[in-house]
Amino acid sequence: MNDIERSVLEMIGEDIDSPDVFTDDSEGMAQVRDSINDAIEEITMLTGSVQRSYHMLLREGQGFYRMDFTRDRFGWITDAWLISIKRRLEQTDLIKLNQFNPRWLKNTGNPEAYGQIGQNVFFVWPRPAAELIVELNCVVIPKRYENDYDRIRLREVFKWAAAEYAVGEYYASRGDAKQAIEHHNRYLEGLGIQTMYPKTYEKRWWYRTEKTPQGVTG
Amino acid sequence: MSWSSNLKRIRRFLRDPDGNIWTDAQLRRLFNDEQFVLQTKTRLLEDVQAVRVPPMFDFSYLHDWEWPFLSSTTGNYQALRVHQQSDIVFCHRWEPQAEWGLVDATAPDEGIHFTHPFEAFMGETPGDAIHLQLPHGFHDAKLVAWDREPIEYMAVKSIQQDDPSWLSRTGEPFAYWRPDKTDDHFCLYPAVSSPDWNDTESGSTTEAIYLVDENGNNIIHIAGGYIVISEGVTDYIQDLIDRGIGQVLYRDGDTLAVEVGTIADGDGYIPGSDMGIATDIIDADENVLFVFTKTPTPMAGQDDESDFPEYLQKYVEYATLERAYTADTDGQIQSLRDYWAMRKDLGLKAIQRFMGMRRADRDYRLVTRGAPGFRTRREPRLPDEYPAVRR
Repeated sequence: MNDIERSVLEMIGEDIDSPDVFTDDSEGMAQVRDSINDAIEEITMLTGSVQRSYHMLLREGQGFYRMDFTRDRFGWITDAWLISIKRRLEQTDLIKLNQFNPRWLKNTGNPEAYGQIGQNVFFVWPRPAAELIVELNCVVIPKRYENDYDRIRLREVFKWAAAEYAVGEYYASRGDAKQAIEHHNRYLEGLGIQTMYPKTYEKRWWYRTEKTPQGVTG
Repeated sequence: MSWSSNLKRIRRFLRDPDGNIWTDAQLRRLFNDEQFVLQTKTRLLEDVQAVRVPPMFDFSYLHDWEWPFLSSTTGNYQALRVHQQSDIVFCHRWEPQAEWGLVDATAPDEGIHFTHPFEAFMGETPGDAIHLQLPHGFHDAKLVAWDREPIEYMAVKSIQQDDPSWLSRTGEPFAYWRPDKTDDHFCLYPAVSSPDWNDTESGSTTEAIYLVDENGNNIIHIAGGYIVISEGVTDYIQDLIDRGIGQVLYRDGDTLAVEVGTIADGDGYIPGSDMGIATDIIDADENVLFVFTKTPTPMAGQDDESDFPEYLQKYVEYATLERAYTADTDGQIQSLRDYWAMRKDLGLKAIQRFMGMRRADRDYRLVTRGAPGFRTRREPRLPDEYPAVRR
């Protein structure tokens, strides 16, 4: 049981030393770990806080590459560096390349730009004339942790927010929507992005007519 | 994450682990529907695939009633022509006319007819449109290119107005058209005149596996992601290799992707695939390259996995929970419906922000008005390397 899990159990009134429902094993902690993992994914996705570096082989004449991240999940690329040429690749997209030259797929040479399509396709322009190694710095979504000794890749300030996220989901699983909303709002406050996530979301707004309803007089 | 894992998580929040209120089928339908909604709102799923020319379909069939009995629903081709008034299938267009006594029954048609589209490339003039299979999950195109040259969509009307021999026209394709949008097929115009039969990845001409011989006989069977070679055909394959004929589709050691008729994932090209980052190249040479937005694959079996990345699937689950709590059942709870609706909407905003951050490495430049910049009109122009300019 890690610190976040301990905080969650304390907030939902579970005895940490002798847990009743959420026992200290993978089966007993499955629900809490699921929620904490969801929180970690969302926080890293929104903050881009976890980055890793990869070396990828660009093959001669090949412009498109489907990437398969076997440890973490790919988010986006922040830097692409051609090691042997000592140069950055500029980020681009299909619209820009089509505007620049509709026959851009034919071009070969030393790559000058790269782009991302969907969630796992990486392309370079022009296609490499010879094999090259590109170093990619990528924001990744860390693999879901499974054991209490696995590293939690979160800044300290966000760990408490992750705990609130899990507590909110616990109450949602009990059918208590009010408590669930309250804890989820605390999670959002902890994350510090309240402007994007309005706190008063639970209010439902509607237009009201100024006409007098039928049958009402005076 | 498999559908069974998604279902388990959804049931946990519904507090209905045994399916007493919401059935598995109901939740699966809601999940599938919400996948489409999420994709419609975010257009997150995109892909790049190369479609092989000549094409490879799983089955050919003649009548519509045959379709439900075919084991593949992703790569079927309706061959020849159905005479809608009499529900018979005919080959040449003079056949129904001759039946009505309109023309001489010996009047030639404009080309040959075939039951598998790859037969159209056997050296004869095609008399039918040559169907190609759109990539798996195709929704709409962002870029289509034949042999690395961009091609554009054309309506049949435009083609027919300019070219009376449009069906039998062959050459370098510069456009594509779609015969029927429910079949997910497309056709190149003009049809490819000399396709590359030896459609293997670069550097591999040996150990090729032949799927179809020169007579159109299937000698290798593909099933369940494996290539099954019929017993006793090894020598026959070697003979074909030696003679350099037949249709080469996959290299030895390749594993098939689920997409039928597209480039297969090649094990041999993935260095160190058990760690770090593994790549699979996408070959656009002598093929039709599609960059497109995808339609999410619906969940059908317990082991199916959503096309959305694992870390975004929870937002589909939230939307499913909202829909489940909205349904008029014994489990309808308004407060929980609103809670999950809030979570879903927050998730949508999170995805939009996430997609915006993918452009974090873009360089934005201020441009002076009137200064020459990138070309804004996609007009034809000579290749960049022609003429060679020396300064």
